[in-house]
Amino acid sequence: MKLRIKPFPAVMTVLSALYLLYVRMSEDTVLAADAVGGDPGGKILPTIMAVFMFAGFLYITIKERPDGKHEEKGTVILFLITLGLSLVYLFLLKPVGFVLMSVVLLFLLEYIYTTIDSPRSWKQGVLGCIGTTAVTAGAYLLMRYITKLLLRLARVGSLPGVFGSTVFNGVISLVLIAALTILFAATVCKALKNKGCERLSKSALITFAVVLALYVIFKQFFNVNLAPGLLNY
Amino acid sequence: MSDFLLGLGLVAHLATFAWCAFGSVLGIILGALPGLTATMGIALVIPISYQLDTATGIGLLLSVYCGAVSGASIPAILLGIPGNPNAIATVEDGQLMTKKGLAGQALGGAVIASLIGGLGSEIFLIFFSPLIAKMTLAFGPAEKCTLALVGIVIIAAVSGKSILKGLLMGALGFVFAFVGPDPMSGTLRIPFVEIFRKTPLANGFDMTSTLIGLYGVSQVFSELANLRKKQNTNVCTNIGKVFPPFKKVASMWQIILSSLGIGTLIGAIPGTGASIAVFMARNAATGICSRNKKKFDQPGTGCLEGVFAPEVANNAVTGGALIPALSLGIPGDSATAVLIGALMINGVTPGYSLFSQNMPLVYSLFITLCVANVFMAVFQLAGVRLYPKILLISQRVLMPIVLVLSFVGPYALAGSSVSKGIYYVGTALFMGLVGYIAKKNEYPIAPIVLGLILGGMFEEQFRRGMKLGAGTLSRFYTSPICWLFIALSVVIVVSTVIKRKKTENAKV
Repeated sequence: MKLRIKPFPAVMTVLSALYLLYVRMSEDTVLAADAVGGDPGGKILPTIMAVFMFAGFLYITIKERPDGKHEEKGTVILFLITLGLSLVYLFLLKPVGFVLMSVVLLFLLEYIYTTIDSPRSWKQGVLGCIGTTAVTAGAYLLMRYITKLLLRLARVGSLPGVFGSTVFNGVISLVLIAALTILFAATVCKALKNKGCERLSKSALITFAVVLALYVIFKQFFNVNLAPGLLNY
Repeated sequence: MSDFLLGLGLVAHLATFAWCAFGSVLGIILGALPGLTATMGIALVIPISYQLDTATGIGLLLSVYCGAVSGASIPAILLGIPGNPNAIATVEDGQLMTKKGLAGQALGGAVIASLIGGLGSEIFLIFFSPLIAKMTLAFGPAEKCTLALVGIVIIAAVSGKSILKGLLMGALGFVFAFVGPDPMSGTLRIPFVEIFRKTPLANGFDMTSTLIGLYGVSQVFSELANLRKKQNTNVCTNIGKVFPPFKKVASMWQIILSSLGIGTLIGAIPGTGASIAVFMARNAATGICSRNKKKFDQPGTGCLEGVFAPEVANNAVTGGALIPALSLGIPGDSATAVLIGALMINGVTPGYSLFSQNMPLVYSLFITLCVANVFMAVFQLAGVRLYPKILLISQRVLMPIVLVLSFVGPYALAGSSVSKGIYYVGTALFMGLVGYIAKKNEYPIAPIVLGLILGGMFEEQFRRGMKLGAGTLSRFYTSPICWLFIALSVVIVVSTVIKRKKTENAKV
């Protein structure tokens, strides 16, 4: 049986009705100890909005008919993959950590999107993901080791104080990432390209550079606590 | 004068200039790449701007805005595809000039025109915004409440094809704004209070995560349908001479002035937008050229006049649109709606208090806007031979990066709290889905943003107005300003409905 109403306004009509019920059933939030009075309370505007949305979406549900257009199957699959990977990222970010989860998300999406109209090897994708994660984790640990060493040496006076500053360490890290990216491109990626795995090598290179650069910008320049997770070094 | 010097002091740092330069380059790239928008660019850099001092953060946001508006002319000229609707009127003459082998002059002309438009409209901004802001001194709670209503109605009217759908999305934005503590009593208004009272949801939806979700994450989901389409790789690489002859540019002063006036005026009227201004400027230029046939070429034949007029106008819109945005908090389009949200996140609340209490910050804003325009011109001219390569970057490569940035940005706002950061990422993902589903069903998302921005203020002022009227609407119906705003809202709704009916009838 064909659906004769558009699902979105119909769902929104139901949600508006539920919101109206929720608003009416919740306790009122009139200003307490109000000697002057006159406060209409915190339920009036949510009620007006709920009624307006209910009426508006109901009108659209009745008035509009489905146009029969459907999303292509391939696009639906891409959407589900993207959503699924985003949810995995969200739930595993804390235990696994920012660097590892970002590598997995970015590499897989890069690989899947860029091989959209060519034969895709899932085995190649998974192995590429594991390899990129390992290489990025290695570079991350090296970067952390160097910056921690510089900080320690600056603190004990073996190096000038500037080596202990956040900005200097951030700049050093960015230079290191640039050097490692060039090295990665010239060795591993070139070898993969020669073996006919150009998409894999490009995805790996972009993932490596972007994730480490984001880490340095947010962690080292802006001092954001990017979840360390498994790489708690 | 001392306020100006203090404002200059806020801007005169290497870091400010460096971030403005970064913002300009980023904006140009975002504007140039079809599928990426100025609005999305502003939303994505909010977390970075939040980490910087206020003047630098605002400079970064304005640089992205100016760069993206101007950068849209690049694909319009080289590919015949506008980077965003603001560059629609540039396509015809830009493409014809490219086919004539004058791509460089078209690009160079567009940059010079954008610079003139941007800086010229800033003069109007500096002059008029404090005056309009001063008018708001006469506004009490009832007037502020109805002003917020005008803002919602305007954004609903300009976004999308149906004003009802725009208003419904505005109402949804209000509903999102009502989540959290009651503005008067402080009582929590969240579902399942016992479960969520100790989570960040108790403070309502985070504005930045919402903006990034609606414009970053939803854009990625929306672009999935276009990933299979073949990319246009037929980009002109023969740029040639970049600067148009100075004499030619100087001779077009009438076209420049008329386009500047049109762009600024249209930009300053909330709800009109650059896509109207560019065509009006082009029409005016056609009239001027028709009257001086010996002096000018006719727009539509692949001439500089046809590139200059829309490009002056669309960048003049940026300064014009900031007049109501800064003085009243009313945006003209989705980009300025997000910009207002971004300014509020950075601690700048538009309105008279900004002009009366923090003039140095206002001056710093004007100075950074000027710097943003200059950097936009410098980097766009400097990178002129790189554009063909930038245009070849595939959406397939870009979209995963945009998604990761859309998750890292909200997370970064949480600072040292990992759990709060993950909650923000979840908010961005949820709002991304809301935005995607809305866009898929042809519901505009800009009204959701404005509803979220204005909802809190609307409710607080409404309840204050009611309290002052001893529980009645007397404060609303006894104020001429309220009547004016209500009448304006009604006129906007009615005129939009009539205009759309006429368009539909014309199609039939």
